Amino acid sequence: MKVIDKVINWARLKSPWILHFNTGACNACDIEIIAALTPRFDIERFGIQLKATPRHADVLVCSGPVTRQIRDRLIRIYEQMPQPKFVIAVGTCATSGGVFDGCYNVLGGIDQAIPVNAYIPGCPASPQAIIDGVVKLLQSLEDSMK
Amino acid sequence: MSQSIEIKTELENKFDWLKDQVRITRENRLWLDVPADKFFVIFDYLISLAGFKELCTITGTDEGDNYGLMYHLARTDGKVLNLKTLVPKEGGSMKSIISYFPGGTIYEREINDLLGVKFEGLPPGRRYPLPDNWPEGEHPLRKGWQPDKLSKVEGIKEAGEERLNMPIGIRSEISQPTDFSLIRRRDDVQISIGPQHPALKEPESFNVTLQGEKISGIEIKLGYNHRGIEKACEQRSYIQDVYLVERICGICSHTHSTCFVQAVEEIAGLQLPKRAAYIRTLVGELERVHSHLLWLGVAGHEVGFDTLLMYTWRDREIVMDILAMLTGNRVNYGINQVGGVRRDVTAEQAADILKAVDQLEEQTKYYIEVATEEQTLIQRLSGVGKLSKEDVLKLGTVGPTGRASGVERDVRRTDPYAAYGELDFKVITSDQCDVYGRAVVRLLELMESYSMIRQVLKKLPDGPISVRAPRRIPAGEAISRYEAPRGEDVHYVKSNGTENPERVKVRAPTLANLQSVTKMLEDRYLADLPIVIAAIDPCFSCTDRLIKVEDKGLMTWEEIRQYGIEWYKKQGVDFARMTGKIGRSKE
Repeated sequence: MKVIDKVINWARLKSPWILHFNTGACNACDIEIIAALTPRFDIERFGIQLKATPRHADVLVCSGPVTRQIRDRLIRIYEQMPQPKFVIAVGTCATSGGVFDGCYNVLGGIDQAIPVNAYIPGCPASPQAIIDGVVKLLQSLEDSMK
Repeated sequence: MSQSIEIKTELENKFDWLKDQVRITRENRLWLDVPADKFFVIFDYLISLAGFKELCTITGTDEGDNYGLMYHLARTDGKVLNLKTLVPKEGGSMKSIISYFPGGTIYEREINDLLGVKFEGLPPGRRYPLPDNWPEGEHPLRKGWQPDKLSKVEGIKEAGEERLNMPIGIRSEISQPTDFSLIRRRDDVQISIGPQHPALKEPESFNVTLQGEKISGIEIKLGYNHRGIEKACEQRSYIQDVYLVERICGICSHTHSTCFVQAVEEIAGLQLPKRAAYIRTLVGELERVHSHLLWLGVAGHEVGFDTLLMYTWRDREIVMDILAMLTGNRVNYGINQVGGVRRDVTAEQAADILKAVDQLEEQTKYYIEVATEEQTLIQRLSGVGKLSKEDVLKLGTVGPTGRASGVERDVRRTDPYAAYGELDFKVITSDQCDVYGRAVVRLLELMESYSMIRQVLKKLPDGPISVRAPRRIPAGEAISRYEAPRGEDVHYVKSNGTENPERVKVRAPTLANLQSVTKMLEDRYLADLPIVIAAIDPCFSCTDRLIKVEDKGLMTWEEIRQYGIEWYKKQGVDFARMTGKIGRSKE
């Protein structure tokens, strides 16, 4: 591995920028994601920042089951993200469809539309769980780079 | 009760054929079935002379050969009259109520989509809440409907795809002449906001038409969050439904579960123990505190005051800790069950809550100080998103949004549920009629909530926290109202004697308020859009519908070009001839 690649990888791991997208969730996971960014939990200490556009983001944080209306948009947002990109599914609905499994307008978990790198279950996933999931994802990336 | 009987006798005196037709199930609840041909006589009378000026919602039901349409009309004193009529499935249709309630078209459109009832006079528009390319003739709320024709994995292409391929969605009035020096009239630009946008925390889409920087039209597209919960409720038992309706919305989860459980308890004739009513009130008020603090932070964020977001969300964690301690979960508490609550409050917990409330009150006083003295905030919010009292009454705006325009409308006062009848509280109103007023109303409501929490803990009666509820709920129907942090939430439940409900209908407060957003944004600047939308405290996961304000239709580039050429021709400039000349001179 060249020195420049090492520097880039180091930067990637130390400042993953995230994009939050609600794919049909009930809001509970969304407010827990925002809560993780605010002073009590302060996920920014890992260099994580919430970004406004998919073109700036490294990690897509999704919550909620994928509804029929949103599936296309989710795929488009995923495609707009630059490589390398990662997806975290937050909450039981994002993992498997949860209580909404079998509803006519719900397709299931996030992995029904785009590939997922990490699953964080919980209804809703608590901020602690979200931080744990993000750190685990970063750890696995670090290991894979060695 | 006496007033309800008065309404009944008045109706009977006026129309003899209504003798013994009006049913009164309990105080504030009247039910009336009328034939379709006489419907509008009664409807008109109730609205214009009997004072039923609010339309809570319309429920559509599938009843064998007919569709049932139930109009839930409310009065300011808390009386709800449920007027029902039947429309035959074969060739039947209903007249639209657009002339009485301009906002009522949303409910009609929903019934049209989910049940397939035709409404005469309903203006054309895009469908909702179902996705754009949902197959025709498939109506999921019909009994026995199976999602066979829908493929499991395929999503649905969004309508208006071509619009997104345009450089900056330009349409209709803009001409696209060949000579760029002639483009002067850019008076109608359309921009698309959402479903993924930094100002929006939930997926919804706004197509804003601009004249310069001013908004001239706005089209709201919802349904990204539509999951089909009403249908799912029919397929699950009452016990499962309590937890399902809780997940309609993660911010006002206690609202929906309490509202649903109240309706089921009314049908089953269960007497809620006093202690359970108080605990429900306690959790409800704690939820209001967390929701209002959350709103304050989001509002701060939308006007670029991120410090406020960080401060309020830090303090909000105090309430979250209390809720987690009381119920076992930070959000989606699961404290309700049919017949009571699941967990009791101990003396130690009560002491902890009081301590936390003191702390929160201190902080809230500081926020009130900031809101009333900080000039930047006052000037940013004052005069933005104006909504007059008349508009509130006309559009049926509920909750703090309505109260900030001087309309004293609060279900906790007019139609008390749980323990609110025994508590002492003020209904906060403001005459500001703008976003600033909405912020002040919410801040002062926080102080009222703290006082209510203290009263609840002081008066908390001894006794059981739940009564045994049957698994099968006897046949019947009930409508339940609840003052959510965002406004009035309405649930209608119909049972048929089995373990599963026959029909569950939910009207979330944001749906009633969304219609006023377009009014607030009329002729306002684009930069005000995020804060005005945030100011109604929208919750789209509850709402899931589509509203169409204006429709000029989409044009392709070629059509726009043609339109431009025609338009300039009318002004006396003929591009066809001009280009012809240029072409010749080159030769």
